Amino acid sequence: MKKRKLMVPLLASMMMLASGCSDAASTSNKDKDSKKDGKVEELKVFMHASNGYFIFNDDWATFKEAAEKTGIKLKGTAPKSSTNSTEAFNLMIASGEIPDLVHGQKKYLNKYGIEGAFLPLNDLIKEHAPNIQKYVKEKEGFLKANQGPDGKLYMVPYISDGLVAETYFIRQDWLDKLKLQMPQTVDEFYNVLKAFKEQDPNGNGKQDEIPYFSEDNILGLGTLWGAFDGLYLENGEIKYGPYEAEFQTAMENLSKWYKEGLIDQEIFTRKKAREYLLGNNLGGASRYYPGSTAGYNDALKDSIPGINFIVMAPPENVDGKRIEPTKRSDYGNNLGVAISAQAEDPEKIIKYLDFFYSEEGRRLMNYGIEGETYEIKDGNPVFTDKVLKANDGNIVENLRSYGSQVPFSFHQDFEYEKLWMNPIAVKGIEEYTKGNYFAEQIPNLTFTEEEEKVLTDIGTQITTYKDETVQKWIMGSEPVNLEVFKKRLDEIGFKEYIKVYQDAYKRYQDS
Amino acid sequence: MQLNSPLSEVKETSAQANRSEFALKLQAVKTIVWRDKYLYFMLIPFILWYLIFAYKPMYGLQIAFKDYSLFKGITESPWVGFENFERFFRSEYFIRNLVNTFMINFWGLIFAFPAPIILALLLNEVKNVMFKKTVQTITYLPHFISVVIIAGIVTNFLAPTNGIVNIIIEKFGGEKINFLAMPEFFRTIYIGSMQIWKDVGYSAIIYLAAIAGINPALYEAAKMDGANRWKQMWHITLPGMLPTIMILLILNLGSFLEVGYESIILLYQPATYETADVINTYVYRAGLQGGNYEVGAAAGLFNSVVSLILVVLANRLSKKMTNVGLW
Repeated sequence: MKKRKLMVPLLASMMMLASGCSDAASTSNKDKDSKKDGKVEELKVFMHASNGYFIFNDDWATFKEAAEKTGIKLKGTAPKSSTNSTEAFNLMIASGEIPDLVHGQKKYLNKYGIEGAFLPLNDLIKEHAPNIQKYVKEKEGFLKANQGPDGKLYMVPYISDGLVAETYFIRQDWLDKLKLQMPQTVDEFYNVLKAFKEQDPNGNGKQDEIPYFSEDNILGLGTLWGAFDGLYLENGEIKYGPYEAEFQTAMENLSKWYKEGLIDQEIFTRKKAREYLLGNNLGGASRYYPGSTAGYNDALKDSIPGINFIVMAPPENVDGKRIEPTKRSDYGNNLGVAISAQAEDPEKIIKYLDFFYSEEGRRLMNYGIEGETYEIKDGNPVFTDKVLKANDGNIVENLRSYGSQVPFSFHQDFEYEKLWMNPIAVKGIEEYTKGNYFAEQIPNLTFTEEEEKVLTDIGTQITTYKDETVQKWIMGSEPVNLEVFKKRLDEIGFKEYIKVYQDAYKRYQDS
Repeated sequence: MQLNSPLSEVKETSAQANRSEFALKLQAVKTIVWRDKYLYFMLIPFILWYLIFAYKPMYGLQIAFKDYSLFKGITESPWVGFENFERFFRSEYFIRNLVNTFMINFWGLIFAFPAPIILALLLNEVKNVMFKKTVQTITYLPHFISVVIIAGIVTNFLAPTNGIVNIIIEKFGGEKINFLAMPEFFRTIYIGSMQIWKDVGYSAIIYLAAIAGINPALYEAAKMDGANRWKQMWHITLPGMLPTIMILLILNLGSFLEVGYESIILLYQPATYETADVINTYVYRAGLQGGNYEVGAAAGLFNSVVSLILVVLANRLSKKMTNVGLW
């Protein structure tokens, strides 16, 4: 008996430890009940994107505003401590308790949607969501881009606006200083980079300039010789860039550029290249997203007088074509919101999501709250100082603190970007759009489970081999030899790999 | 000896004389447990810990043989036999990754394993207490720095354009070397930074404790016999540490297939895959990022089986050679 008496408090204290998490959950439930005032209904939402950059915040003003309009208030359930969105998402799925609304990547929403975790939305949208239905009916490609491999729609997508993803950039002030013309062809581009390297445009008496640098990878330059780094579309057929003959020429040239010091020697290891190389007046040309890159002109105008890092059109490649390999997708950015199969009233939820596709909801998500973040002047929205000036003028960041411009399900409005972007970026984007330099883009394809396995097993081997070989070629530790490379790809199972893509693309076209 | 008395008590107090042998033994065990109840009581938390954190998760190991879906759960997912293992072995890179894993651990064993032993021996010979404590603290500190920051420091030090190492090389008239992009340097950099620099001070603590436990009378006797410092170290300190060294070596072999893949991911890049890509990093790229937990589980199970074999072999060898073993 004595023993038992001792055991009880000890066991009890252990149980307390073990049940710590569930305790916290039950108190938050009580909290929820007390907040209910009968008018506004509270639903749970899971949103954890960009590895913790976007975690649903109950205090976001735009969603409070939406609650007033729709009678539905959202409560975030994603863990704020996690810094890995896939992990957070997987944990949520594995827990078996799926919140009413789930934000996530298309491939996962589709995968678990087919298994029964999320509701197919086609009929719900048809009956209860006129604004979303408008996209389904009127925008060709909307369904194709977002539906699962079973032909059902499991998510309402976040749609970004504008076509331009990355662009070329060059230091116009360096060109002026060295009395050079804007390069129009790949040969001229080479000569300009060479001049940047040798003629000391930053004027510090040292040859420390780094003519070409990049924030992510070097191969955006491959199209200067007509070669693509990965999969691409040509005449309605999916091809793998490194398997094509142009890749040999491109690699030989890039290897030469690297050897001559025209390309950043640390291109594969450097982090935050723009910050360091532009900030120290060393970088000459690059390729990256125009909005954020053009911003460096403002940020650095005091420390580097006359800095003018502008968008340039892609130089004509060896075939006389100007090609920009990247482009924003038309419908859907692979992100969206799904409705849980456990949701009590899916009708209400789809109506709620429909609000964000309405004129009013779209404006709310793009510009924030009228009178607070923007005002209407001459019929157009204009941002207030709260957005433009606060926080060192980091406009996107400011808008996001209100809950606008977070990739929830809504259609982004490119006009919003024009309102704050550096004029250099706006001009560059217009130039790229008008010139239509974009390479044809592969749509978001969906794969069967078998195909998924081929992509994981063979695909990982192919990428491993390709990445490794390409770096060795460019850094010159191995001579470029496409024949050997292709033979090796065949051994790994390249034919099977590319067939998966071609089949998936065919299905996409036929759907 | 103590076992006898309760046993006889049981015999005497028992009403039935013809109890079976088994019941008698059971009664004896009960008595013993009752006698040492506080010790068993203290054992409970640890048993619970093992049940919850070591044995219960083993139930999940079955996903290595299943086509696992997070949503369906462990029981509902269909069995697929050895398919996950096949997928894992079939890769062209399996052998290379296996060899790389072994090589990193092998060189780690040659260079990183003795490093804290040597440091402990050196510290033991230092007479100035201030100096000894200072050295100990400085070598011990990097253990608490996150691997992410260490990788950042390494990248900065070795950067070809403005890294301190290359600046020194250049000042002495050498050619700059892009260390992190050359496969032949990867193992040295990894073992040097992540295993030796980061952990040498921390691991030395165990050895210092082992040295502190050596009977001082042995040293006095050695001095009487005219042994110098070197001889004392060789014939007293080292043999005194040997049991500790052997146990740590066996434990080390147990994790021979486990490489800290987080720290490798931070330091490697495609150009150095040739020597840097290990089983865990490959599995990470192939599946874990996309939620293919079953392949990860298969790789983990494979690692565990190999580790178990290695530990058993090492233990047997150690017992034969030094009479020291884990069991």
